[in-house]
Amino acid sequence: MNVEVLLLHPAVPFIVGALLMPFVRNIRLQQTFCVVIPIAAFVMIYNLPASAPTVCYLGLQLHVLRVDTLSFLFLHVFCLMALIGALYSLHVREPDHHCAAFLYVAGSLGVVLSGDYLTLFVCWELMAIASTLLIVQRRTRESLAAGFRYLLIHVAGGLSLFAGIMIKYAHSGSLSFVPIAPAAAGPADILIMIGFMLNAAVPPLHAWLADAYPEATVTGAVYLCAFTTKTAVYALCRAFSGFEVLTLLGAGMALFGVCFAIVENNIRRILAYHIISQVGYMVCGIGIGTDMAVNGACSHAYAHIIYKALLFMGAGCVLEMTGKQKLTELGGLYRYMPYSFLFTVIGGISISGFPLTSGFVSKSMVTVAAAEVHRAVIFMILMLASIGTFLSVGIKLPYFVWFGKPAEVPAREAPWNMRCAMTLAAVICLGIGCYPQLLYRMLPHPVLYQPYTMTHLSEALQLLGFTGLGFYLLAKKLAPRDVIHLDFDWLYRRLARLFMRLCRNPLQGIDTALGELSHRAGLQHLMAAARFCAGFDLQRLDRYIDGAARQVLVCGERVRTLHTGNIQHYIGAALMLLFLLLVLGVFS
Amino acid sequence: MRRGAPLIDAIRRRPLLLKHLFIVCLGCIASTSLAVPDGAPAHDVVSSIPFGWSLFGLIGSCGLALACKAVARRFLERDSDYYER
Repeated sequence: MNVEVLLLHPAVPFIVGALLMPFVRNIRLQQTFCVVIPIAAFVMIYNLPASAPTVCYLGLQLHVLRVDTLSFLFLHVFCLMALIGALYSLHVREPDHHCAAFLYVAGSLGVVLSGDYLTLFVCWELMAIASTLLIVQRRTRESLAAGFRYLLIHVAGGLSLFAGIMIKYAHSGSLSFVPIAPAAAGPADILIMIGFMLNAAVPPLHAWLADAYPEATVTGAVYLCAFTTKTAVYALCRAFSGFEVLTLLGAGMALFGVCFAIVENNIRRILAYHIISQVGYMVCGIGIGTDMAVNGACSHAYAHIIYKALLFMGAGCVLEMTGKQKLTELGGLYRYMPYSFLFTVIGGISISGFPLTSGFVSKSMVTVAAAEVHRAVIFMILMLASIGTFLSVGIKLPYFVWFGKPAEVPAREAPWNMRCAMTLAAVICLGIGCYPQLLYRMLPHPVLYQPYTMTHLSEALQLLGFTGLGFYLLAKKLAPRDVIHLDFDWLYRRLARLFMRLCRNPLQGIDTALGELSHRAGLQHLMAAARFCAGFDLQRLDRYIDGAARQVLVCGERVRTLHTGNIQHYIGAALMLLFLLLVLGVFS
Repeated sequence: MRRGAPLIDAIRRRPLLLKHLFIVCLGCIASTSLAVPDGAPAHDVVSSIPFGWSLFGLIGSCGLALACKAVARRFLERDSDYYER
C-alpha cells in the first residue's frame, strides 16, 4: 500500500484528532485541537497533488485522492464548515462529541476525494456511524430512539449502495466512481442512485432527516446539517448529472420541504424541512445537467452549508439558553439574545435569497438554468418554493422566536465561541452575496451568469416584499400550534410497530403452540423410545457385555492357576503342544 | 439577563409608522417591475405581466400558507404525544 498518498489526505488530521481526543484531559488543549485540526486540513487541501497515484489494496486499485474543481469546491466548504462547527462547540467538554464530529468530517472528506466506489462506501458508512453518535449523544429517550431509526435507515441505504457497487463490479470489473450516462444506466446504477438519494433526503426517503436532526445535540446538529446531504449532492453531481428523474424529484422536494416548514412548530424541525427543500434545488440542478445548472447546484450547496449552519447555530443558541425549541414556547427573545437574533436573521434572509446575501447569487442560478432549458413548470415550482422559504424561515421563524408574544423563559446571550462561529458564518454569507466571484471562480464550469441585473433584482424584491405582505395579512393563520405533523416516518414507525406486534402475537403464539405440540405429541413418544432404548441397553446389551467380561475373568483366573513357576512343566507343555501340532500336520 | 435592543424597541413603539414604511417600500418594489428595460431577457410569462412577480408573491404566499395549513389540519396534525401513546 502506498502510505505516502494516504498521508496527504485532508481527512488524516481529523482521524488523528479523533484518536487523540479521548486522551486529552486539559480543556485548553482540547480547544486548541478543535481549532488547529480544521485549519491544518484547510491548508492541506491547497497542497493536494493534481494527480495522485493510486493505492493498491487487496489487488484493487483505489483512487483515494481524486482532486478536481468539483471535489475542491466541496472540500473547501467542508473544511470551512468543520472550523465553524469546531468553534461553535468549543465549550463542549465531552471528548466523545469531538471524536464523533471529527470522524464525521473525515468521512465526508473521504467521500469527496474518493475516485472509486470501495473508498466511497467505507467513508460513507463512517459518516453514518459518526453522525448517529452526534444524535444519540444528547442522551435523551427521544434522541436515542431517533438515532436508532436514523442508523437503521442509513444501513438500509448503505446496503442499497453496496448491492449496486457489487453488481456493477461483477458486470464491469471496475470500481471507478465516474459519471454515468442516463441512457446507459443499469440496475446497479439505480441501486447506487437510491443509496445516494436516501442520504440526499429525496422524498419519500427523507423522513429520517426531520426525525433525527431536531433530536441531535445542539452542536451536533450544526455538523449534521452540513455534511450528510451535501456529500450525497456531491455524489449525485459526480455520477448522475443529467438524469431527468432528479429534475422532477428535486422540484418536488423543494416544494415539499417548505410546505411542512410552514406548518411546523419545532424550530429545528422547520430548519430540517428546509434542508430538504434547499437540497431539492441542488438535485433539480443536477437533474437538468447543463453547465449553468450544475454550477447552480454546486454554488447553492456551498452557500446552503454556510447559511443553514448559521440558522442551526441560532436555533441551537436558543435551545442551549432556554431549553425550548417549540415556537409556541418561545417569543420576545431579541431583547435577551440580540447577537443571536441578528445572525439568525442574516441566515434567514440568505436562505430566502435576499440581494447581497449568498442565497441570492446561488439559488437563482438553478432557477435561471431551468428557465433557460424551457422548463417553465419546474421554474415556477422553484419560485413558489422560494416564497415558502421566505414565509417560513425568513419571516415566521424569526417573528415567533424573536418577536411575538414574550415567553416566560429565562434567557441570556450565547457564549462567546458560539457568537464567534455565527459571526464567521454570517460574514461568509454576506461576503459571497456582495462578491459572488469569490464563489463563482471555484465552480466546476466557467460562469457566464451575472446575478446583479435589474431584472433579477426586481424579481427577487417583488417576490420577497409581497410574500412579506402575505404574511402580514395571514399572521394569525400562520400562528404555530403545539402539535406534531405526520410524515413518512409515520409509515416506518407503523411498520416497525406492526412488525413487533406480529412478533409478539402470532409468531410468539405459533412458537408456544409448537412447543406444546412437541411436548405433548413428540416428547412423550421420544421419552418412551428413550426408556425402551435404556431398557434394551440395561437388559440385553449390558447382560452380554457383562457376561462376556465375567467369563474372561473366570478364564483368566483359571489360566493364572496353571502358572506353576516350574520350568520343566513349561518345557513339557511346549513339547506336548509341538507334538499335537505335528500329529495334526501329519493327519490333515 | 435583559440587555435590550433599543433600535428595535423604538421601531416597535411606532407600529403605524412601520406600517406606512412597509407600504411605501412595497410601492417602490412593485414599481421596479416597470423600470426593468424592455429588452431584458424574460424567463417566463410572469415577467411579461406588469407587477407579475408582486402578484405571484402575494398570491403564492397566501395560497401556499392557506393550503398547507388546511391540509395539515385535515390530515397531518396529531397531539404532541402521538407516538408515545
